[in-house]
Amino acid sequence: MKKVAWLLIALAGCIDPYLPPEIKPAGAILVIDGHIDFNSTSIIKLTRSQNLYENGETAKVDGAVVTLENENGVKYPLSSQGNGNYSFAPQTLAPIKHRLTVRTPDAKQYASEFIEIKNSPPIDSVSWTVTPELGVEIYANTHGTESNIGYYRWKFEETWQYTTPFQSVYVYNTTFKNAELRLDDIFNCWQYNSSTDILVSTSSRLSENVISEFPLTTIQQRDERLRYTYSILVKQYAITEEAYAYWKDLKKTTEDLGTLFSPIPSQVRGNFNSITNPEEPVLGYFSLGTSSEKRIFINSLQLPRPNTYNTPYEGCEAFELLNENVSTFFSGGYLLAGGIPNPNGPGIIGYYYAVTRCVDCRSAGGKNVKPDFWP
Amino acid sequence: MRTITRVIFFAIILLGMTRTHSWSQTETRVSGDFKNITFIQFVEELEKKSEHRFFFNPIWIDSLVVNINVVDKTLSEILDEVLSDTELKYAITQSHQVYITLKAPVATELPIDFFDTSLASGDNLKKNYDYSRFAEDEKTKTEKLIVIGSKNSNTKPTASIAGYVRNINSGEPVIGATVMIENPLIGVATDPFGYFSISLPKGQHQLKIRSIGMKNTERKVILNADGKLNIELEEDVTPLKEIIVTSERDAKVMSLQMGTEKLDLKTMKQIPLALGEVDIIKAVLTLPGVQSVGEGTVGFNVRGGATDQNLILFNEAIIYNPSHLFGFFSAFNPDLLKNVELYKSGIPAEFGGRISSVLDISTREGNKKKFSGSGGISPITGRLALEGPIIKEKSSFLIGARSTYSDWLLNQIPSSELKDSEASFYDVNLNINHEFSSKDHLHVSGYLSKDRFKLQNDTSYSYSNKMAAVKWRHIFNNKFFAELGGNYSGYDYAIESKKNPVNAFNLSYAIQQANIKADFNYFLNTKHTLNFGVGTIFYKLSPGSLNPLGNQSLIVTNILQNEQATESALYLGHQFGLNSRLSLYAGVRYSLFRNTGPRDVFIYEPGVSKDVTTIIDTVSYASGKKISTSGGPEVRLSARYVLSVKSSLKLSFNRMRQYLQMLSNTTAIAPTDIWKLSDPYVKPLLGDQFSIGYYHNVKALELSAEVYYKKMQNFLDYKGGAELILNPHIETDVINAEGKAYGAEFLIKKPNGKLNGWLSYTYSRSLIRTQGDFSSEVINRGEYYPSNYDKPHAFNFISNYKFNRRFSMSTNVIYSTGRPITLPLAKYDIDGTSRLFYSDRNQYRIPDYFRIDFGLNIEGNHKIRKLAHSSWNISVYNLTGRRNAYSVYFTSENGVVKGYKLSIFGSAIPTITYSFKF
Repeated sequence: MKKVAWLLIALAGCIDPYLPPEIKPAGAILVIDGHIDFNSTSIIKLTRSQNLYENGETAKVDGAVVTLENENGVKYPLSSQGNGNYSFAPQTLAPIKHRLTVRTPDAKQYASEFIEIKNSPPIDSVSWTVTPELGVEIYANTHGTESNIGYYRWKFEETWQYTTPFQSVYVYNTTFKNAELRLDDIFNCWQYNSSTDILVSTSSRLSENVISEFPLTTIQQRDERLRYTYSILVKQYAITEEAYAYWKDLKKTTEDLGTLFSPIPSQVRGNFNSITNPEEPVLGYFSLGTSSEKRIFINSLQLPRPNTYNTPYEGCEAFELLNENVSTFFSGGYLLAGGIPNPNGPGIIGYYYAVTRCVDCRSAGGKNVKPDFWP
Repeated sequence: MRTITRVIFFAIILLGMTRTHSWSQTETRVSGDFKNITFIQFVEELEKKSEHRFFFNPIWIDSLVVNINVVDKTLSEILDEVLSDTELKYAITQSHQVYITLKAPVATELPIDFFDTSLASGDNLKKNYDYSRFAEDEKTKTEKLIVIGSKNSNTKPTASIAGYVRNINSGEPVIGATVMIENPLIGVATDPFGYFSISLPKGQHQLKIRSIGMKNTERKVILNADGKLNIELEEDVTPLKEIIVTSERDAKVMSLQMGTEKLDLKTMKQIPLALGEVDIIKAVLTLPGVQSVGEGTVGFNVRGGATDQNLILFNEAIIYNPSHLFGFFSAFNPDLLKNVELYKSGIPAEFGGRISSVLDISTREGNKKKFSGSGGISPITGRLALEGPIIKEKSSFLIGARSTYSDWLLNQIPSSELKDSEASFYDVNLNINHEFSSKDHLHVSGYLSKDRFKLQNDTSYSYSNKMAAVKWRHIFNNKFFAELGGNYSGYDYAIESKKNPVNAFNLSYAIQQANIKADFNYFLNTKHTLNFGVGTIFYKLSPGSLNPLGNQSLIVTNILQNEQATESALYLGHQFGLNSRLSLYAGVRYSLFRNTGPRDVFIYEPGVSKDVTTIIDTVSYASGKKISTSGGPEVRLSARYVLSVKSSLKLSFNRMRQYLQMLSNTTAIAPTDIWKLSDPYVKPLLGDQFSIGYYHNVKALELSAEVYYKKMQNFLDYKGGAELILNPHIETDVINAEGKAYGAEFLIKKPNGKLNGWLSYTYSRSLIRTQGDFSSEVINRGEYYPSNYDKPHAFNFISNYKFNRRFSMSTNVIYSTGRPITLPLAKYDIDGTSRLFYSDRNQYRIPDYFRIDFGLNIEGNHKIRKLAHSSWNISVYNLTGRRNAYSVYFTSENGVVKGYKLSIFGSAIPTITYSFKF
């Protein structure tokens, strides 16, 4: 129904940013975030909620005792890593129900419900299609055999290669006040991005435990991500019906709101409760089980090429610097790029230079180290 | 045919005939027992028994009742007796034609030398001259003394007059017209057939007839015994000089009914339009006590009730979804409408099934006299209605259709979001009326509407309303009549998606109901009127079926079990005037609801919250077997006390029961909302309302103040994130709640004059409290919280100013408090993304709503007779372009929480509409 509302908006309506007047703050609520995948090191993160317009990092909760506990009372303590992180080292667990307990430094006790272990079946494939309207649409496909109905959750990490408009061949040596050949590569970078939307689906309305073409993300054709090579690593979790309901509710209350047919938002709590004070809200959902993952690459050669790409480099301009002025070049905020060839002979008569962000790909947030998995 | 108009006689009389009696040479002799029949029936009998053909003006004899027993008498002997107490005379020609005339008999033969050419008979005259325009003028009608009944009747002090009030041009009934005398003050209103029956002391009276949109008229009557009187009203066609009508005894003060608002098409037409269509629902929303969640929403909320608590009757059959295109248009074609009545309190016993209000919409019957049509064109819709007689004066048809070309409009919007999107609707109406005799009428009406929308070549939605109704009305005598009727209503929707062949599906929902009923009205005497009746509704619901679409689809067919039930009711209402000041209405309706098989019902573990995991058993019920019953008496009481000629005080109490509820956890009615019948877990809604009103007329102004308190039990609310579609165990997702609503409505209305309109202020609250026993069934800790449509302050100003007959200007000013919403209190990180923690339900409000509309109505020239009468309406909706919030919401975008305000009409919306009538 979301699209219906868009239609209406397009017909007559409009959406404006809006800041509601003072809202009574709710106080800092404990948030327990994390999934334990006992095949690898997992992190449980303890934070506090923030008031709506509070900026900056969320407060981390250190010094808490976090324990995984099974129905038989066997306990597996998690080790504090600082910054609110508590890690769980990979180990084999009994195939019974487990729960996570937390004791915060202020001596408050919290515990999740006992939950069953859900191991994810392998991802059958990560497929994609390309259309002029939507661009590249990427899907997950899977099937399960453990139960008739599958509930799944996905997360993904994208990686893509990008370049700046000007390749820097020279570097200005501030000591000798001259230009030298650049040895490192600040032209090619790799950018990383993680999924933010909640991606859950179920086969409950199908006769088989099959998920076909669940849309994970779409990328416009002119998106910079598709300029060279794009890679996506999809992680799949098998979840319980309750976890599915939780993620769906959370999605509903924060992602699907504001249309004519939107449900009324409601408080979504998770499967944690406060033992000390049952009235105290605590947020987060605990789940347990192995995940499966699959990585694919999409090369720009596999796609129809658009005329231009939307890059953050619009307005990048190179200026000229003649050899005789190099010694006085003040590099602050600027970097040297290529050389200006001598029209009358060998050598160069000067250099091009440009604003740092147009030369150094790292200023856009990426890393200039080729990832291990990159082809 | 005997009903050759009076014209002929006038013609003959005017031609200067002398008085002559002419007797046929061989007199036919007649025997028969004519008991309590109308003159027309009497004539029919005579025509069967003899060769005579009768000619008369029906107006002269319409109050004449024949009550004689004749044995072998001549026609003239019989007529002498029948017409003895009247001013009617008769004449019988040699060719066995009988002319009945007023005061003077007709000369049956012309002097032979009168015309040179030939002998002129009535028929010849008719062929050569058109006298049809030769109408008695209004003055004659009002001054003429009408004698009703013969003097030698019984000795009772009172007698009744009954008849129809009709539109003189179209022959259609005038509904809700007041027929009254002033001394003593006795008045009645005409019913949906234009029928009235009034008991008056015998003697001479000045009968006054008033109706919205019609010219006032009067009749002088001498009442001797029970009789009939049909009254034809002229339409209030554009008097060039506006006459300010000061109705001395205003209906609102005098009538027993309170909490009702009546809108006629004329008023609705004056209200500026959002999208160029006269819209009942939008018009109703301008009345005090009526709210909606926001623009672009279906339905309306009356006095703190939910949108599904309004009984929306269209020619007495229920309409489930009263809107097209997400509420931008009402589902009712304005060309066919006659009037709309909204009952907010004091609901009479004949209505039942919804707890908040009754919106009674009636269409016209169609012109019984001539063929005519009307239509209109606006930027989004086109409509056309045709009507005319099938048998002149006896039966008529009215057919109307409306459609949109919004598909075309959508394609004009350069947006990829809307590419391949479609949105369209249409509706069709057909009404047929037939008058078998003055005592028997048949009304047949049918309605079909369909909406379809499809987005980006993906999912398509469609929904449809269907309605068919038949009603037969029989008048036993002046004081007693009956209506037997049956109707069918259906609503269904379907959603289809074909984008991914593996997931391609079709989801559909349907509700159907058939209703049979019999209603009786008995006008006992001046002081007592009784109405009673019985009816049963059969429900059949298909709460959802999901089917695969195409061969590749893996969707499992999932068909929820049908639900079926019957709702029966028996009612009796008694209206009685204790004295000239105090009138009372006491009614009781006993309704009984049975939910029946075939159906499997889950049994839940007692003492714990209902959940899939607490199902302990399933019980199968065979077809027709009772699953659950509920019901009980519904008391309806009203009282009116006249304080002075210009003011009165009214009280009312009513209890209503509702056996089906709409399930929706969105704020507006969505096309995918479903209706659910009461069952062992979903109890019927029970609503009690108590209200007091004070009514006062000051010069041309009608002032009123009404206060109400309302309690609603077994209200449904939903658990957070409730799943309502294709849920075989809805009871696990709903919470039992109770509601209370109270408020005060103040209205100043100026119904007539160059400047007319109303000004209203309403203070109202609507609160809900959950009553669950388990923590998952409690919202806001079980405290009262505002409902989605709780808008405490509402101010409406609706005005129309007529510059002259052709130009009028309308302005609306609407203000209301913003509706409650649930806002986020905190944000927190889950999985690297910011999420929101919400407040208690409905603890905050969106910004207040304010809107000004402006409209200009331009009528074509006011020659009454011309090929087509046309009019233009130019309107600007939301003149100030204020971006009224429909909703405020927060979303997390790329991990950052952002707040937005959504407005449906974000700017001024100008529209121009052309309408025509021929």
